[in-house]
Amino acid sequence: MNIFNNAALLIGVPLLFAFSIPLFGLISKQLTKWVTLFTIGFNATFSLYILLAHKYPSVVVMGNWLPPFGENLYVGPVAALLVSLISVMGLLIAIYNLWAVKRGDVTRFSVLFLMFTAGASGMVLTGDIFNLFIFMEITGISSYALAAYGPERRALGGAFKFLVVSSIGSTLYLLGVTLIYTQLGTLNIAEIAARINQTTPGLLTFAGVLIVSGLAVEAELFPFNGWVPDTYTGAVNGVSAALSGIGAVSGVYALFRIAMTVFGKDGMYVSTYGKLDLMAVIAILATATVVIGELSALTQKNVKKMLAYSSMAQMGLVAVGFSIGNELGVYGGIFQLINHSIAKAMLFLILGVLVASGIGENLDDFRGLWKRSPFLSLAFSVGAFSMLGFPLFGGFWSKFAIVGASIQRGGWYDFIIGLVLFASAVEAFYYLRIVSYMFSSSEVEHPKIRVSLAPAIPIFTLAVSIVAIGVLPQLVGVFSSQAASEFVHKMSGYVLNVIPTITAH
Amino acid sequence: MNSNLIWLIFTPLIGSAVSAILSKYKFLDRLITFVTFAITLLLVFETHVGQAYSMNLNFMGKVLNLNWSVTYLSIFMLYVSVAFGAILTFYSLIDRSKMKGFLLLLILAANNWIFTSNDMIGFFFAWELMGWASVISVLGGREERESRHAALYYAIMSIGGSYSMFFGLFTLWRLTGSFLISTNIAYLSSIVGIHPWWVLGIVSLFFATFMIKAGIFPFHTWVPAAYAYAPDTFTPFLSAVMSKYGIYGMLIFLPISLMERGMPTAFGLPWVNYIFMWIGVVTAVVGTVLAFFQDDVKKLFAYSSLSNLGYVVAAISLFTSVGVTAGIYHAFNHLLFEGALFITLAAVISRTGTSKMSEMGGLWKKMPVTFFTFFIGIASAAGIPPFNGFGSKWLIYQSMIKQHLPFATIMLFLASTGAFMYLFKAFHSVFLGQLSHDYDKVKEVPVIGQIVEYFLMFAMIFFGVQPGYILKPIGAIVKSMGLSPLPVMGNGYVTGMFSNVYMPLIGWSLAISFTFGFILFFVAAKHKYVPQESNYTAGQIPQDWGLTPETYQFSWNFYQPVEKLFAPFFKIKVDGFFRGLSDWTRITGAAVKQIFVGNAQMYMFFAIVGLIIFVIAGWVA
Repeated sequence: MNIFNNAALLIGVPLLFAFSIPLFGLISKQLTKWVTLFTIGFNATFSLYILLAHKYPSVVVMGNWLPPFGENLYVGPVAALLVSLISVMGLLIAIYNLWAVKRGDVTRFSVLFLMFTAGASGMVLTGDIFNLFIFMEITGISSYALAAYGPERRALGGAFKFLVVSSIGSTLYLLGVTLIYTQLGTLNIAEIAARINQTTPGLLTFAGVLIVSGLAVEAELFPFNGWVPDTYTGAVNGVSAALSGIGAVSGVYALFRIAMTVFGKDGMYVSTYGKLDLMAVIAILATATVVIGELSALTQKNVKKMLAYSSMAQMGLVAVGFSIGNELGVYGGIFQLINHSIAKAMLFLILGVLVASGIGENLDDFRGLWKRSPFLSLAFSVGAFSMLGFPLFGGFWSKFAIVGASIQRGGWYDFIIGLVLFASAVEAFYYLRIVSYMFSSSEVEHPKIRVSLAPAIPIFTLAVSIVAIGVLPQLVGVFSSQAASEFVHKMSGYVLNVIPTITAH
Repeated sequence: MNSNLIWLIFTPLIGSAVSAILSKYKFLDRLITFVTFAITLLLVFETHVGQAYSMNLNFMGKVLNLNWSVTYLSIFMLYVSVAFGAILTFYSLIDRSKMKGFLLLLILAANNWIFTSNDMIGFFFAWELMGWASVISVLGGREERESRHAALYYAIMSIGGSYSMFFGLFTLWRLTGSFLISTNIAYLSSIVGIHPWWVLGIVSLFFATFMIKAGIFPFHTWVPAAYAYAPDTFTPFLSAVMSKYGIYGMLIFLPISLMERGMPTAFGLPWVNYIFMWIGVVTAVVGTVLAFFQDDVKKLFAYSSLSNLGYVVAAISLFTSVGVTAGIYHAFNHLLFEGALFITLAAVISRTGTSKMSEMGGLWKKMPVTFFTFFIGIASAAGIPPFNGFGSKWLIYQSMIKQHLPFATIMLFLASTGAFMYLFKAFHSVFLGQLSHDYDKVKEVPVIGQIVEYFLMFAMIFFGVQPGYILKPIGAIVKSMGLSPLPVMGNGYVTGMFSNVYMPLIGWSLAISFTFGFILFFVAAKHKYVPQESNYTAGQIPQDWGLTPETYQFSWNFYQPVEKLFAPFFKIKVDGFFRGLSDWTRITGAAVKQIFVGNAQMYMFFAIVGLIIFVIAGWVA
């Protein structure tokens, strides 16, 4: 077997290098950043190869134990797409970190960053409900530590809140997993998915509620998202970018893998087994998240905090898209996930450059930015326009699909989408306010901002990709529609690809 | 398959990209904008009714069909909008405002797309593109702060509108499974007899959008600020062309004709049309009344513009052949005279640097060509024959009277009388009266500007005395809507329900009587010519009376009695509703923000409470 067909490398290589980075650190601290860069670069290349050369769907088994008995990785359309997204975002943020991470313990930062990426990739790839927990913990613990990195005191506070809320989440998730295991005696996602109807409905409902509550912490859904504003604001900008560009992706993936594939019931619109329709629960949570997030961002004068609230709201929008439960809605959700990941990471990176050049994070500091740095302000506007769904930018298509899908579904989703659209109008207001501040003139003449190459590369790449997706939505649309089909048709899309012999019960 | 339709959209997009790259060199940017408009106009000449084009797009994993087709209405709108844009961009060659050529070209692309699109996806996409590009264009007026606020206000209204349309088009899609406009209109027409309320609901979603864009009451509140604080050269486009998108949309949906069976009627009209007619009348009246009190001349004409659109709405809502003819005709006339007025205002403001009427005055000797263009413009706006505004207003009154709507007609008459008053105020305050010393060195606009002004003067007179050139294509549009077109006897005639007016005759008789009047004026009395700077205070010193140069200006408190008369009505503010909504949102936002107290225990508590609620919900379910 060709070793380069083995998707386990996407997890193994970063972990291997993560643990050997202290050795590199003995030679030079700068070297560790380059090692991180090249490792994630390998991941990005490999995952893009899988995605673009269409090397999926494939099942990677460990030690020739076929599922459901062995542990397996499943590279389907969803995993291929999201692992590429995670690796590419990781690569770009690693390039930014070459410039940004200078002081403090550079070696440990590199270790943690690699582990974070490896954990997120693992979450997306694994076919095992307990390994999902392990990778979630790897991602989570490395992200608490990453969030605490930096000279500022608020970083510690943010990281601590994240730690507290997130550990509750993991506990709840683990409890849910245990309950399922007691019922079915298996941890393989595909097998659980096929046999989910054999469980006691009451217990199943309880397990579902526990798992969804646990995963909603990482997916930033209200009321489990209290950590979001403080952690995003406290962390250094590179880490905030990673949290919204990588962490949130894997969080949303985990939530809907469980809710749609494991608990899901095939139908015109996916609903779940058990007494409570988890998709409806998520829809309500997600709508609350969107409305609360956008309203909280509205009066925020601190741009970084505003971006944090907006992050929360956008994740809510993603979850609204998924929770509609037909292909169009999931398509919109995945598309929105990608758009948000790209745009929000870029906005945080820009903010990092601005802060480094002595501009504060407040709205007033953005006055006259256009005169000082046309590149940064154009890139920021591109990101903002994508966020609020300006046509010719990426965000338009995903919002379009989500709204279309929910109106297609009708019923109380009309009401949900009404609230979401109201929140979107609020969002448009505060993003446009920043943009108009940037293009207004300031009373005082400030010197120009010089952007060095390392942060300029990721910002430029991301801005260009937003416009490219906006003009040619097929670039992402092809992959997201395959992914949507995997989510919506759980048997033909997922279970039968992993265990071809199984039948649904 | 006529691929030239797609070039109507791609040419401006390409021009826009080039001009965005070259936007540092202002003149080059403007030149490219003008050339692109001119090329697009040539492309419009190649466009004919009945041409169609369709394209398949792979989107959402499905095949999405984009459709373009040219109807009589779309070709008419294309001609007038692109031609006006070409004139405006030619003028903008000498302009120094912060208008961005590439944004104007983006709007042009959207313009051509909106007018030719036959599928709702393309229509919506173009609509969004147009809305956003225009919002950003409004930024960058002379007064930065105000223009930022105006742009944000406009943005929010515009977003509200597009979301409403969003909702409407997907609802239609849910019902018919198609995005084609013609299919959906046909579907709505077919069920209007069975489910009138459903149709009304869906159509209102679209009409809210169109009313916002056209600035119809009660969505007119964004108009004055956006028009006044947009870059001076962009305002003509905003008023003349962009408000017509709303009218165009309404005209697309009108043939559903709520006049069909199943709707109760009021005064011989289906009551929906009746209400809509009154909305138009109220817009006309509100616009007129508010225009009285403006000191900012651009704001005054913004109100004038929306008041005229009220006439258009009132006329087309009748959906009779004379009503629709009159509406489209007035829309055209509005485009011409309002565009001309705003261009002359841009010229004046570029020379004086202010848009406050109380700071202007006596400019007519300094800027004679601009003065005459403005004069003909307000004569048209007031509906004085033989200029172009007369025929359409005359037809509108006829259509209203024919429908036996005396009260609405009287209101429109009143609005028209009011229009005389505020137009005179603007005319007098800007061009007549005392010349301020600040403007001693003011010169006429450069030659390019004068060429544009001469051309606009010619157009306003030409279409005034030869209305047939416009009424014939409008006849074709009316026919394509299933109504019988008004007969057109010749290019010089406006044919109404009761009689025909031969415009050249009116023109000549007025010209002769004016000449006669002038002769009498010169022969009869003795004249003493005073310099423009001398005062008219009969020897008193204005400062002694506590007057500053501003309050001393003629236009200060020009219509104080009228203002007192209407003062009680000003307590009712439509604007207040939207402001209240935004305040409410902000306050709610500030309150909601308190959820995130920044305390880990609280977050934990929320999570646990959330979990408990779910568990209980699962238990109960």
